[in-house]
Formats: sequence, C-alpha cells, structure tokens
Amino acid sequence: MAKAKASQAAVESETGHPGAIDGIPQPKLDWRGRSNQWGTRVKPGKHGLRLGDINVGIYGEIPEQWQDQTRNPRGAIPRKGVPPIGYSIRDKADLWAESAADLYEEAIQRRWAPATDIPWETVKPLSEGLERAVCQVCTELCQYANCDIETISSWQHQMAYGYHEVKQYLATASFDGARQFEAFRKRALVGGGGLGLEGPGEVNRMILESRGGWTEAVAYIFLLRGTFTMTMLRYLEKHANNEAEALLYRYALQDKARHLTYGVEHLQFAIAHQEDMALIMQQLLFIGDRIFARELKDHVLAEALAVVFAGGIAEAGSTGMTEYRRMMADFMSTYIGTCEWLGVKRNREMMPSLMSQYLIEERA
Amino acid sequence: MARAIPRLDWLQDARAEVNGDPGYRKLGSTDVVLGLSFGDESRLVTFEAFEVAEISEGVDLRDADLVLTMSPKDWNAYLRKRARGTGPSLLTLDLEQGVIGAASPLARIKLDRYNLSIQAFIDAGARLAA
Repeated sequence: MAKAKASQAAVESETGHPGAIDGIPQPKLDWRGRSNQWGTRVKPGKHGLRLGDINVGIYGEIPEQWQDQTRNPRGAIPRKGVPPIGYSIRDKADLWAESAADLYEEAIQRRWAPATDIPWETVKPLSEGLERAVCQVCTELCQYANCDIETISSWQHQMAYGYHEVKQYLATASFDGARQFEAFRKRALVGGGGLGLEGPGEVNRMILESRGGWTEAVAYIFLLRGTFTMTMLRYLEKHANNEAEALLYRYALQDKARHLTYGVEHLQFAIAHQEDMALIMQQLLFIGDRIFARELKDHVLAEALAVVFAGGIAEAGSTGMTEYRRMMADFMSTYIGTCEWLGVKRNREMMPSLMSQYLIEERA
Repeated sequence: MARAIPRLDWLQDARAEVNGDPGYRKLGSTDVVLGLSFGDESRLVTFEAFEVAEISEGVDLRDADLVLTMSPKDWNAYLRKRARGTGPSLLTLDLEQGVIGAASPLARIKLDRYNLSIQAFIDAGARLAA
C-alpha cells in the first residue's frame, strides 16, 4: 500500500496532474475552444426539436456550392489532410428542396410497422381470380419499391454533406421503399395466394440507369413513376377488400406523397436556379414517356388492376377496365398538371398515344 | 323544403377528443390547414404538430392548403355514413366526387400525406355528430 502510494505520488509529480495513472498519457485537450460558433441554443417547440430547428447561425447557412469533399459536418472545423471522398453532387440546385428537413422529421413521425400496424387478420379468402389479381399488383409494387431503394441509395452517397437535410430525407425515402417491399410482399403471401409474374421492368431500368444527374433521376422516379404509383394506390384504397388492404394503401400513400413533395419541390428549385432546366426536363420526359408507354403495352398489370377494381374476373372487362381508364385519366391529369405547374411545357401531339389517349379536356 | 344546415357543431369537441387521444398522436405530426366549405358555412381547421391547433370561423378559405367543398345535405349524409362505418374514406370521396380543391399540386398532395390524421379527426366528429 505504501509502495503504491509512493509510486502514485511519483507519477503525479512527474506529470503535474493529480490522479494521473502510470502508463496512460495525459489528454492534451488542445481541441477545446475550437468551434466556428459556440453558445448555440435552440428550444424545442410543439413538434419537439426538429432537424430544421437547429439551422441557426452558421449551422443554418446553406451555400449554393459545397466544396468540402470530406464527411465534415456542415459548420464543423475541417481537418487538414483528410483524403477527399469524391462527392459528385456539390451544387445546391442539383438536389435541394426547401422542405427536406421537415420531410425527414415527418417520415420519422409518420412511420408505420407492417408487422403490427396492419390488421392482417382481416384478410379473408377472396375468389381465386381476385386474389391472384391482388397478388399480381403487389408483386409489381414490390418491384417498384426495390427500384426506389436502389436508385435512391445509388445517388445518395454521391451527395455532399453540406446538404445533409436532403441526404437524411432520402435515407427515409429509401427505408420507405424497404417497408413497402415488405408490406406488399406480405399481402401477396398472407391470404392463401403467392407472388405473381415479374413485371417487364423497363421503367425500372430507365430509372436505375439514368446517368444525367440526380435531377433527371428525380423526374423519372418521383414525377413520372411516383405520380403513377400514387394514383394507383388511391384507386387500390378505394377498392380495398378488407381493412388490412385499406390501411396498407393509406400508409403507403403517405410515404409516396412525401416522395412526390420532395421530388416536385426539388424540380421547382432546379428549374428556378438553372436557366434551361425546364427545357431539359421537357426533353427528359419526352424520352421517359416513351419507355413508360412501352411498358403500358404489357397487359398484365392493367388486367390485374381491372380485376381488382371489378371485384373479380366476371366484370373485369367492363366495369374493371372502365375504372382502370379512369385511373389512367387521373394519372395523366395529375402528371401533366404538375409538369405545367412547374413550367415544363408538354406537347400533347408529341406524347405517345398510349398516354395521350387518357388526356381529357374536362373530367366527366 | 327547408334548407339543409351543415353539421359543424362537433368541431370543437372533436378537436378536444383527438388532442387527448394517444392514438391520434401516434399517427405522427400533421401540418396542414383544411378548409371546410358547405354552402354558406365555412371553417378553417388548422392541424399543427400533434394536435388540431385551431378552428376558425368567418375565414378566408384562400388561407387553406386544402378545401373540402360539399353541399350541406351531402356533408351531413357523409358524417352519418362514417358514423355507421359505411361511408367511403375522404380519399375515395375525392376520387369519386372531386370534393377536395387545392391551389397547387404540392398543396393537393397534403391530403395523401396526412390522410390518416385528417380522417381520424373527421371520424371523431362523425361519432360525436351521430
């Protein structure tokens, strides 16, 4: 004991630090006092403490370009010598949406768990034709969802950390895709059916392989395909066979509506900040419409939806297809209406007939 | 024939009910201003964070993100059906009858974004009105 005390005293004497332990170096603490802005305080509000709420002082300064090529969080002091990551998306106009931070928080707040939030016990046996149709639609929605996951994650890691709000939101959008893949797969397998036929995947490929920048990918994944998916979900909700399906489609609609909000707001920002972006969008959608229309030629999804809308095979060709055409008319009205609201002129004569046939002057 | 008067007497009670309901809070934060327009009567329902923050009368519906427009007779019938569990969702009602108006595509999407919370409030009102 006396020897230990003497040894401890020697270490303390040598280092000049009370409580110093032999063999363990003293902290330098030379990083203290190094901050671009200290004394930041934010009070939580009705929504709690949100990501956007802490954008105060220099931490809320979001520049038009972000040159830092490292993972340095916005507002932190950069460290010299950190090798660059190589982020290719460094301009605000290439990814920004004003509501990104709020959408991130909303996605967290409005999360749902397919395992326990959907009353799966309400799925009762349907006629075979109807069950097969529901399962086919769910099979294709699974593919849309996994395309979302892959597309978002393939672009997200290229975005600089100066725009973390967008990266954060896209992380939730990617998770939305994972959750929807899970939920639609569960619906296909819970009711005595199974998965159906793989979709043609041409639009998926177009989305995944777009290389003209994140804005181009947004036009395809959110504006074109997102509007179509959202319209489909609205009609599926109307024709839900049980409480489980109704709730599944309503939850999915909430997720998809956030995707569209980000997508449309980003396109609005991009068009406002890049001189010819509206013209570029026009060209991109001209190309995208053709691939979308080619996929419409595949009869499987249309027929499956018609069976769902008719409540069975017997009236699928009449009542079901009439409702399918109404769905397509609503999709085209929303899609073209959004384009025109953004200032992207669409020429009806230049659109594929498989799409333009659904454009109506007035909704009946 | 006597003119139908829209049932709106339940609004404050429904607000109190959902604001105290943990199930409503679990749906998540809701940020939308919903206008209700039934004939000569109109109201603004402000959803903010986890509660229905305010219900206003004598308002300018241009302040609303979404405006639900129906005849008083149809609105009362809708409430009765929802109370019985036979009425369509607001989403379906809009699909079938185009009852929701919005100033922009972004505003219109708010019905889908917050459909569960808006429906929960309307349904609380339908039960109270029954």
